[in-house]
Amino acid sequence: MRPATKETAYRFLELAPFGDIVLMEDESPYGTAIATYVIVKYARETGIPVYIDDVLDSLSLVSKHLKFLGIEEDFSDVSVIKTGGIENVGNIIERLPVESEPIMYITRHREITREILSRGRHINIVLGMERRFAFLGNRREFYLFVTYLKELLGNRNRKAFYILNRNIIPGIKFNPLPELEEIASTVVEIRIKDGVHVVVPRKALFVEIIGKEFAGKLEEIMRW
Amino acid sequence: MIRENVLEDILDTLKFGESILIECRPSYIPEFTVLALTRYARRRNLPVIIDDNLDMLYTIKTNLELFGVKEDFSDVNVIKTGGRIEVGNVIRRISITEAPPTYIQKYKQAAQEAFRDSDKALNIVLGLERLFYFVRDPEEFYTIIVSMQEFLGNKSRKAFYIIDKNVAKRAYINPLPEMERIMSTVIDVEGRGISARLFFKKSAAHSFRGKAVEVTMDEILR
Repeated sequence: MRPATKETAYRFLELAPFGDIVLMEDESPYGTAIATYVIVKYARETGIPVYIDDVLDSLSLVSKHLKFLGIEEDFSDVSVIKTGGIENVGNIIERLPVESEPIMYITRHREITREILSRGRHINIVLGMERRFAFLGNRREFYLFVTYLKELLGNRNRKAFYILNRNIIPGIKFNPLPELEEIASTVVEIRIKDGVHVVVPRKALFVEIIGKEFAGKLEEIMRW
Repeated sequence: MIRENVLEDILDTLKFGESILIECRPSYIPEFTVLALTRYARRRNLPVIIDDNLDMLYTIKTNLELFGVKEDFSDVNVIKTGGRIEVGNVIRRISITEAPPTYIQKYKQAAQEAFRDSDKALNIVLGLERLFYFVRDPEEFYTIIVSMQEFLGNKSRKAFYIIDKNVAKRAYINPLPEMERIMSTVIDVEGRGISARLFFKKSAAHSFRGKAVEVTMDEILR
């Protein structure tokens, strides 16, 4: 298995159309940190602004994990919509309480998202969405969220990457993955194979890549 | 793979600021891990702070005696949460009759004060999985998880969370998946007669990633 190059990774990020959602299901150590790092780096190099949805300090965790891997990244040029949490990373433009009632949460989130996207094209990274779903108490709340996520689909100013931690899902009352896999145009898994991180597309617009394994060595990605 | 001082190498390689999850099943792994960490810290002149949740340290001290190891932990500072039997130098007591957000606030204050007294310390966390038995809803659960995240990267400590997997799994919300996500290093430890196999499920260090090493009881008792 030959490791994927920076060019392959960037082409994949480039080919995901605006208006679409890429779902990344991570079950690997440090996978979320590396994926976030690569997407932000890609966005910077191509001049597309980034805003991150940070649920319960997931961005701080990414930044700390990157530091352990030897990468200093403070995300200071990234706009952040912060849901709950206590550690501030990036340029925080809005704070939403994590335990707030779904309709109030969604209404405010919709307003701030419109405001951001009215300024033009953006890449959106969502970190810790499964933690937000863990707070939902019933089916009605669950479908309010799912409907809201569908509403965002198709917005030509937004290319979204939802990075979820797969290992947390079994402990959540309402599993969001089946609905998210339906909504997303592309679904990839991040896992470990033979000691190396691999990205495996499970659903894609380009069917020829489905099931293929794209390997990436941490030490090499860090030098991209 | 058996080398001289393999444990010493591992403990030196783990960095200050790291949170290390040690996963075990019912065994004497926690006893020997605490012993190994305490002795290592003494050799390195590092102070030890033990978070003793629900009298775990007493169990460990008593079980070590069964192996003929007298260890009273008198030079170890202990932050005691819940429980009744004091072992070591208890510097703070936190009651768990209050709601988690309240005692977490108190714990944070106690821990920050304890770490402040020393430039660098080894922190051993015992029985945290049992504390999760008192956690009923996601709000309380994530209050603890978020504060655990906050301690990650704090360079004044190298923290070892020793967790019994079987106990953790039976909590109302199993904390293991979130803990594995947060920690910088995750080591699965399995007892094999007089030795233990340490498997690095997660590590920032290239030399450990996905590797397994064997440590003998002798190495710790020496």
